[in-house]
Amino acid sequence: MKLKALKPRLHNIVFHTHTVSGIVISFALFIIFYAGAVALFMEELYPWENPEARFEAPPPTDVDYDRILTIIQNENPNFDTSYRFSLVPPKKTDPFVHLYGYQKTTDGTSERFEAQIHPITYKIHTTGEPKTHMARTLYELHFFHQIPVAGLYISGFVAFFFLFAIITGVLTHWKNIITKFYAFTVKGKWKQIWTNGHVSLGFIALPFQIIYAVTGALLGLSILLLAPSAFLMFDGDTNEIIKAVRPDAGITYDKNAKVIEGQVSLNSIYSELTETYPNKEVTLLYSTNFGKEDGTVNARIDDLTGIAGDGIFVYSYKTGELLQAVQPDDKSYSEGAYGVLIKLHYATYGGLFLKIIYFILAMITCYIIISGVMIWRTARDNKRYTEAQRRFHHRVTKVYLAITLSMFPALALIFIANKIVPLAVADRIVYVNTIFFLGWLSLSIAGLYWNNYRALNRNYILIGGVLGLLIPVANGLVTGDWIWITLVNQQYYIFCVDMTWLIIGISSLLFCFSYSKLKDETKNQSSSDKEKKNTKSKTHVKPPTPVLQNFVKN
Amino acid sequence: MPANPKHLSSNSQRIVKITAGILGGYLVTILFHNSIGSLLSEKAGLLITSAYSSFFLWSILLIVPFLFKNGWKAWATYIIIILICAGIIFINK
Repeated sequence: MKLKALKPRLHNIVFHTHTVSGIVISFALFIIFYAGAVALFMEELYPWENPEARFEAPPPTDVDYDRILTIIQNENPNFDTSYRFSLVPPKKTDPFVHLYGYQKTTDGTSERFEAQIHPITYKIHTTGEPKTHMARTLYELHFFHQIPVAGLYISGFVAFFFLFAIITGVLTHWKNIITKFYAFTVKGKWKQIWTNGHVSLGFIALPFQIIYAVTGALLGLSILLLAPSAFLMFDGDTNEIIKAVRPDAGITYDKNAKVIEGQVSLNSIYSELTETYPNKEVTLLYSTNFGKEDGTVNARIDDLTGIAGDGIFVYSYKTGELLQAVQPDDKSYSEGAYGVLIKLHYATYGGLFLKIIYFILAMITCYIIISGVMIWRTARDNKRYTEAQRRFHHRVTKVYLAITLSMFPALALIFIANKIVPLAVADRIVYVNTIFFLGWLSLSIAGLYWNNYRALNRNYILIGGVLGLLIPVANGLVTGDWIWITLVNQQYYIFCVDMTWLIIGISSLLFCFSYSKLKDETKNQSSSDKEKKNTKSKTHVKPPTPVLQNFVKN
Repeated sequence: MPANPKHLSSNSQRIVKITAGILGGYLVTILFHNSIGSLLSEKAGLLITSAYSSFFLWSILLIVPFLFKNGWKAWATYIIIILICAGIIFINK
């Protein structure tokens, strides 16, 4: 079935905007999707990442939260409860209780304070920076947090241009979108193979990509929307805007309110909520102006399985009555919509299985981005372009492939770095991050010397595969939790990480082995012309890209 | 097959169209949503809706200038819409 074609002028214009916007954002978009796909499992990776967190969490209802607060206040007299603080109850993936708040400094100002508390012994485990940061580094890379100030906005604009590229892409391929959907073939010319993959996989992942383009743009660029609205609709009162999104944030507090003895405790609120909502868990306890007349004690609950399963409850510190609430599963449109957008982005509404689907779709998207660049180059690799132009296209593609494909071995590298830098080392996060970013940089630079795409692809898969196999070994050597031990002890989060890397490592090496056989037939192909000739004669063998490979493996 | 260059615009026109799409499109998006908001007494729902509808509208408005043969006409169209929306906001202030 063919759909009605766009008029030639419209088609050419839209096609061109799709190409240009796609090429411009492709580098950044690939990094966002690749790092973001791993960051989906940020919590699940935590027990693997931090060996000190490998003990079984007590039921969060058994934890005495008021006692934790008292302990922190006794141990650290500068800790200031009166401004704002929050407590994260223990989870299966992270058994520590986390406390975030502020402490007074000697010069009268306040600074951030955080601590991890053991949920059984109530000892303060660490204060200040956490010891491990691996998944968080990847999470932050996914919105370019490492770039000061501008990072978040860059990622927001990339997401916005991604939406533009999606719309123009659908228009460009409109005529053939249905027929290409069934064209799951790896036969034909290379140009055809890339195009078929680009269009059919793009069509499958379309809803997923629209979700990410819109929610990503929102998370990055919300300031662009909210600032003018605050000015135009609410006479510059930003509080009104925040209130629309989160009702509890609209409450104003008086810094100098009277200090009183309150009627509520953290424990009473915790148990009240867990009794009322037995199927949901309290994900955060937080308080503003604790110990003062207008103070509130708040809680967020979530079942992490429903798209509207989260709720916010605000209690008065003075009387203990419920001041405001966003009831889970029973919200008005304006109360619920923002939360839905956030949940759609973080994949926290369908359990682990949904995250795996998200991961696969993210890897498909990575493939679509790569194939888009390959279409761009292959379509320009002919006599209508001058030698200089074609060399330029080749160089851009090579730089692009070197940066993106080297993310696979670099990813394996940060897992290893996380284990080989001892936990006792001060500032170890800096060392781990340096190994990751310098490793990625050197791998990319090395890639520029492999002048042919096949060699580039194979070498990265080989390096990534070898490093991947070292990950379970490094974990076993450093922590003693070898893969068979974690299986027997039913520490499935740790076991799954090691097992996944084992499978990725072995299949990468198998792939390289079958690849080297192939190489004998396609020897000596460095220039793009020669490569073209070769691919013409070898079109029946299509080596999967590492991205696609990863997705098949996972 | 890359796009046929005979349908594409010159460099200066391209800049005009891109600025019309990004800057003009942004202003139209914001003022359009806020002009509706200025007509409503309960604005929370609109504010939440604009969190996603803005990006759809803005990206479509980024495509539209490329359909014009003359990019300045795209700018002119956007400025007219901007003035109308600003007028609505001003009257309801």
